[in-house]
Amino acid sequence: MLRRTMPTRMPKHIFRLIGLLGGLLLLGLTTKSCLTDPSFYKFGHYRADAVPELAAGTPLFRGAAYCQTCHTDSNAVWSIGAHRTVQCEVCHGTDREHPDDGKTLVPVDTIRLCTTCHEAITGRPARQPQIVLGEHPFPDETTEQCHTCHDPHSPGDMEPDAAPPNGQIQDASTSGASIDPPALASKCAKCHGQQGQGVKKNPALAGLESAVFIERMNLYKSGAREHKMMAKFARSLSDEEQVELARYYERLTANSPE
Amino acid sequence: MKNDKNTSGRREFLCTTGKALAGLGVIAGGGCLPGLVGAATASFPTPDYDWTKHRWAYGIDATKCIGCLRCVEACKAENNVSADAHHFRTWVERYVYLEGEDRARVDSHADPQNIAASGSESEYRFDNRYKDAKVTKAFFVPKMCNHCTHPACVHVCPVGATFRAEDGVVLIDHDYCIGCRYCVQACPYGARFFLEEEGVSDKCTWCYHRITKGLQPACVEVCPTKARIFGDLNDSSSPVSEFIRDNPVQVLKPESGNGPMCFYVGIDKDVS
Repeated sequence: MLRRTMPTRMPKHIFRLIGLLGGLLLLGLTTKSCLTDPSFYKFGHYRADAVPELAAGTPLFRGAAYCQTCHTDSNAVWSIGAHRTVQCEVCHGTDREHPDDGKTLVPVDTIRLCTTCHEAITGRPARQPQIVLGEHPFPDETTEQCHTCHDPHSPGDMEPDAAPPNGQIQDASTSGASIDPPALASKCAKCHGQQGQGVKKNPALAGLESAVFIERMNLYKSGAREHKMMAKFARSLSDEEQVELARYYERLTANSPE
Repeated sequence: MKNDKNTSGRREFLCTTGKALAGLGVIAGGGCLPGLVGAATASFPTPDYDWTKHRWAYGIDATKCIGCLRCVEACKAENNVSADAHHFRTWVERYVYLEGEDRARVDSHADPQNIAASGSESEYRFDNRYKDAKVTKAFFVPKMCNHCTHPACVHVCPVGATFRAEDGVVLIDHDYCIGCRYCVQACPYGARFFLEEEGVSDKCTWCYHRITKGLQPACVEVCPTKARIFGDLNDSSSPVSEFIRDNPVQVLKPESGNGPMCFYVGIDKDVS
């Protein structure tokens, strides 16, 4: 039987092969160390310098604390209103150049803006105040916006345009004689129509018996009849104002048959 | 034995080769060791922020989410993410169970019907498609990168472009990313996406440039209902520590073994 004999010492060509492989390995490692960023492996298998680079960015959203340095009036209303959890930039947008670029950041289409959070859509938690578009009263559907009736900085407070400081209405009534029913009625008109004719779910006021008007207002005032907005309005009226307003609406049909 | 010589020759060869390779290994390893030994003495990554002192975590209260998508918009603005509907670092899913159906119907801002309702790809709104349907249960679930303790995306990255920082934030180094998209596939939460123009992967960084300056991530900052909570687990009075302590929280896909660091309240079986 033929047996192959193996040499006891390593043949030269094997040494050459090991030398060649070793040389290639050293060359590869040298090349790698030249091409690898010096901060690689500093903390692990990544480039450590990437971390300060990522941390170096400039924040865009500045937060309400920055805005209130100039907008103290709005901040005073906002900071105690229902929207105090909504940061300024959520509605007003971000602008790194503001105020230097002279642009004002006041949203125009508040129906579009407000319904982002307040349109009744499937999935929204029940405790979120929501309206059904098409059912919510808009006195004049072509021009009115949410901010016509609601103060966006404190939406529970109605009528930002009139902007009566708290208690002003009461002051007027207690001073006597200066009650102006049409002026008071203009507040009603925002939801019940210019002629008190009623808008959608909001009932007509024109021609309503004054006794019924007063009775209903008292129900809102006492809370026996629940309606956040009406309760707030009813409580803002003095008894005299309520009576004058009731008479005004009772007369409205009689005087304006058209 | 008749193969004695043969065996001893092979053993000798393996020994010699092994020693040679071990020697080379020491030489090669020596280059890396000084770096490892001398690491982390000064405040890193910035003089005002030491990443060894923080352990960030995120809380999501789905019962508070109103699906307004201000977080999605803010994230894109803050991080300069493309405004189109299909590239996003955070998103919100709507889960709707209809009467007689066992599985939830899920949609997000990227759903064609929602894009149509918002009027453009760069405005984000949910439509009201279920207004006439009989809905038994519906809720919104904000989603994002979970900044896992053992992130699959980091394990698969062949070049060390993505990594978990010492403070628990999973970051991505766009300079090192080769755009192989292994991480996009490996992420069990679908939290990564590819930037076609730059040829790199992208992901949420918990607004690293904000949190290292003591600010909240943009999505947390703008959330009007405080459905998103962020904070430091090393601080027992931080919002997220309190959130985790006060609520029965859960994580998404715990079985994946990634150890996610986004803690949820108010989600159910179909959310994953």
